Amino acid sequence: MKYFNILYNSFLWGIIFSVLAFQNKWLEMRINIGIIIPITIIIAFIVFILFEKINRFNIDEILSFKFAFINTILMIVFTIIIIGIERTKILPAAIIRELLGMTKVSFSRINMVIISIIILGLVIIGFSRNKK
Amino acid sequence: MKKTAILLISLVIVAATLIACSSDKDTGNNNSAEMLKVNKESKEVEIVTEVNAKYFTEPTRHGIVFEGGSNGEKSVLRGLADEKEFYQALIDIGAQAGNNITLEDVGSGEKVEGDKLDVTVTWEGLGKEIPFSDIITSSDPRPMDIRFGGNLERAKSKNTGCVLCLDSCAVGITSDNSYGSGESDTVKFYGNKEVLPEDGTKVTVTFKLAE
Repeated sequence: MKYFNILYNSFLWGIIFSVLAFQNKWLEMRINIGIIIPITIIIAFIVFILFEKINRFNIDEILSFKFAFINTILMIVFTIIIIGIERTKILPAAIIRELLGMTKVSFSRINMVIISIIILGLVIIGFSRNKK
Repeated sequence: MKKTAILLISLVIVAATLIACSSDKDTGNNNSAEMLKVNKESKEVEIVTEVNAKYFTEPTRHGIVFEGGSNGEKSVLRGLADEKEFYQALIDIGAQAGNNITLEDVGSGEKVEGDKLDVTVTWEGLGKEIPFSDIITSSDPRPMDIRFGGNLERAKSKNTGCVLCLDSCAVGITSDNSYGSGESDTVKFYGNKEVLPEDGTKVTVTFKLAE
């Protein structure tokens, strides 16, 4: 389950990093900003697995349900503080749409997928903790 | 581990299904003859584009960019016609390119030259043609003056897909003479959400050689 925890949390970090990078117009006009999401996920996997091997800690204990829940709330609040509610409805969806090259998909549908991933992700993390 | 894999796969399937179900917009073939029409008698070039609502709230210097170019997702209108074919179409109606801005001039404030073009837009349900300037808002509004900048060689080498830039440009086939090269660093342009239809709507843009 630790890999799912890393994937879930780093996906959220990837979105916030790409939203931050989008604020740099020079960068936004030159690259597909969405690429920051998979890069963040890859870096998170490398860092957590490396630290786990070096320090012998349990990733599941650090990336708990409580951590994932607080992380989710913080990322949403942080995004709204940086770009406001109106842009929050469009920008993360636009970044993901560009990353996937799915220009025919509406922002509302992509937002629905993001919300589904967040809710399902939290449910899965919470469910796995309860089973343990 | 097995359960995690099943959960992960379920998650991916749910996401993929939701996205797939939502691809309900017209995804028909973008036949280049339908996407770009040339009328030599009336000296008009017509191209089909799509609204990219990302730029209703985010600033951009790109008015229209061909979807196949590296900047294809960076413009208010996503062009469905190749910018090199668009260049040839303007030549075919007798327009003269300015070709006066080089990459060394970028940011110098130099203004694009070339034949003046009257640019209008329309879409299904609008029932009339309106000036292109109506669909763009600017933090420093000025009357729009679109010129045939040319720049074919750089369009080929850079492959940005730029059809219409909102400030004078060394790469875009057409650009706005009202804003010098590099002015988009300080002036912010947006798609006008009060005028434009919703994201993904097809918009026909007509470039007419001005008298």
